[in-house]
Amino acid sequence: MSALTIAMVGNPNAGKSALFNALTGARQKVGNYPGVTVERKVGRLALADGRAADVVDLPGTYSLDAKSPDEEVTRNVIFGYQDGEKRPDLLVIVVDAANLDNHLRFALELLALGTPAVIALNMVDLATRDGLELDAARLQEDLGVPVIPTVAVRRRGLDHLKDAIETALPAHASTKIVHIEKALPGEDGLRREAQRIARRAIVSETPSRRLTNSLDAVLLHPVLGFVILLSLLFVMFQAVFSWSELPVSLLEGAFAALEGLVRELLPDGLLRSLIVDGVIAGVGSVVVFLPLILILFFFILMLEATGYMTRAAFLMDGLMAKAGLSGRTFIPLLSSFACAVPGIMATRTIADPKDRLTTILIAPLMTCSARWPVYTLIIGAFIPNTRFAFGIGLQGLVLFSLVIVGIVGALVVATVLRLGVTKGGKGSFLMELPKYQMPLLRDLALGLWQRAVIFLKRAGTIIFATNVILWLLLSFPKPPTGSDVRPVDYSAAGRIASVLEPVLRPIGFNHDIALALIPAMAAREVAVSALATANSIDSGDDEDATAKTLGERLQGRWSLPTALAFLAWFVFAPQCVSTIAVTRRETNGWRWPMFMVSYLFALAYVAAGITYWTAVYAGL
Amino acid sequence: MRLTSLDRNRPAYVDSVDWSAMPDADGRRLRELGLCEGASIELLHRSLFRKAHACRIGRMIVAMRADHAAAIGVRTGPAPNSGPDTEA
Repeated sequence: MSALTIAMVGNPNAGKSALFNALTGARQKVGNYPGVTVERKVGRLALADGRAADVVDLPGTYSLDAKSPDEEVTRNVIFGYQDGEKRPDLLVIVVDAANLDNHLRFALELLALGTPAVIALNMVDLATRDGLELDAARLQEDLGVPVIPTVAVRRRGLDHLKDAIETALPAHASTKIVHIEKALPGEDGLRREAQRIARRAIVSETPSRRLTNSLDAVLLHPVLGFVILLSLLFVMFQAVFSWSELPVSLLEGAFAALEGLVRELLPDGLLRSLIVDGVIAGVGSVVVFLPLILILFFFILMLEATGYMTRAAFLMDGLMAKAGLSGRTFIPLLSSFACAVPGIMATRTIADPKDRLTTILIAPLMTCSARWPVYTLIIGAFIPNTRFAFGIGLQGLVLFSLVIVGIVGALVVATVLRLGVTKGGKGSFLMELPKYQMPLLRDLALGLWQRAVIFLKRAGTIIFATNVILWLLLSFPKPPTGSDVRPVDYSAAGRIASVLEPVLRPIGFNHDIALALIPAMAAREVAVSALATANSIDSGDDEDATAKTLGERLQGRWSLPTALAFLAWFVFAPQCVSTIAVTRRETNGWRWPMFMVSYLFALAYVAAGITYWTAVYAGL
Repeated sequence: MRLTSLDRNRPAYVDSVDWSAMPDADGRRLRELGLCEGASIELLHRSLFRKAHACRIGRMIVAMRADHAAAIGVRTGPAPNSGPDTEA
């Protein structure tokens, strides 16, 4: 028998994902900006009568007239057009209580389809904060379906909602895939009816939006708002560096102690080399950056949860317009600071296809978290830890500059693309600015936990596997006894690097870098683990050498121009298979990912070369 | 008066909208966001160089570019009751 299906549907920012999580126990991302959910997510709801239903969380939309790829998903699921998926047996229409007339417009459109439905009158607490008192019973009477007041994030009203779902849900799931072919009510009729019903439901209304108004007066100020946005980003990058110093050094100490223990316990040989050089030195060199990644995500999650993301988009619209883009594209780009993969998926909220394609092509230029281990290692080793006024550090300043170079590079590339390969379409900017909300500690903690798991999984899978393969290639063949050649240079990996080295030498790259860049095609942070493994094998049992951190070892082997060129390379280089794969999926083919990889490698090569030769001529 | 010329934080209502001055999709989206003749509107913020405008339409804050805002004609004062279905 086919399972019962419930679809959660409603306007953006109505709190659908929070309600979906509360009903199903799922851990779907929750945020206070349009486009948190860009594809359907499924969870399971157990009902008191013993039945269970699949609950589908759908991207938010304002109507069934889809304008962007994420809205098409919602429309297709509701109409039964989604491939291999039957039409939902019940709709849970999530309505923001503080935005009743607008959200009721879409609710009425959905109710006209005739599918059984329950209305979740969500965020009633914020409506009260805004001075609104509502009569849910009258709303229910007018709409003809159950209306249940809820506060999803505080899990209020859930039992009543579950009871209403249980009553309204048909006894059995429909087994056929049926498409709805129905004439929908006209726009004007829907709007008027929504306004009429909303007015009847509002018992009292006192204008009280002090919080949002006061914050917006400062944060959306044409000059002050921009200064605050830049300061926020600056503080974020300074904090990531300075707050993580202690926990990173503690983790480094722990891995060094573990390495010492393994050296004591295991006899010299291949197994010890694999564990010490391949796993602890390699994977450990990336895992130590976990605190740094968590601090970065803490800031990004805060920006997403409070409602500030859309304000940042508003402030940035003028700049984005100069690059032929809409301010809306700033949200996927800001998400790409965490990781380009969700950033590229978030472009589904962009209606204009050319606008969307351009955003996908420039998303890898945002400083994603995978670059941080590379930047931090090189900056920590080669840039002095000088402190200026107000605790501003030179290292944080260099890091901030790399981020800015990425953003400026993205805008320049977008401008060029919009004049050429993605020409056409006119980026417009229409966006709802949601109310500010205080982030919930639980959601923040959950978001950080999920990022930590993803980071450690990457370390335990892709980085571990790449490093074991690299260790094998670095360990064999061994040089003949008495040979002067370094084992690393004699190994298979060393010989491959020697082939690549002549191409990279003009931009200041040495054999170490040539060796690290190949495995780093899998993920950028593998460059760090590859350097760690190669250096660890190279050090052998030399106690002085093994006592040094990777940064200290690189200081002795690289010049400052080489280190700076290496940083410049990673601002642009598209070294992440996940990003390439998601670009292929989102653009339906290999043409655009290949274009993206080519132009980014070309930019990386030119940027590294310019940096190297400028530094050399400057006498650095 | 155009919305772009309206003083900030001054209550007004939508008098007319030149839907032909914007792409159809944007017009439909603005209607879905509550923009219609008679709707209450208030200009809240302008971005640097007045490129983007944030305004309250009904109870919702909506950001739009100046060319869209310029297509919206407004009159100051409280919004008249909109539509024939409005109840007293």
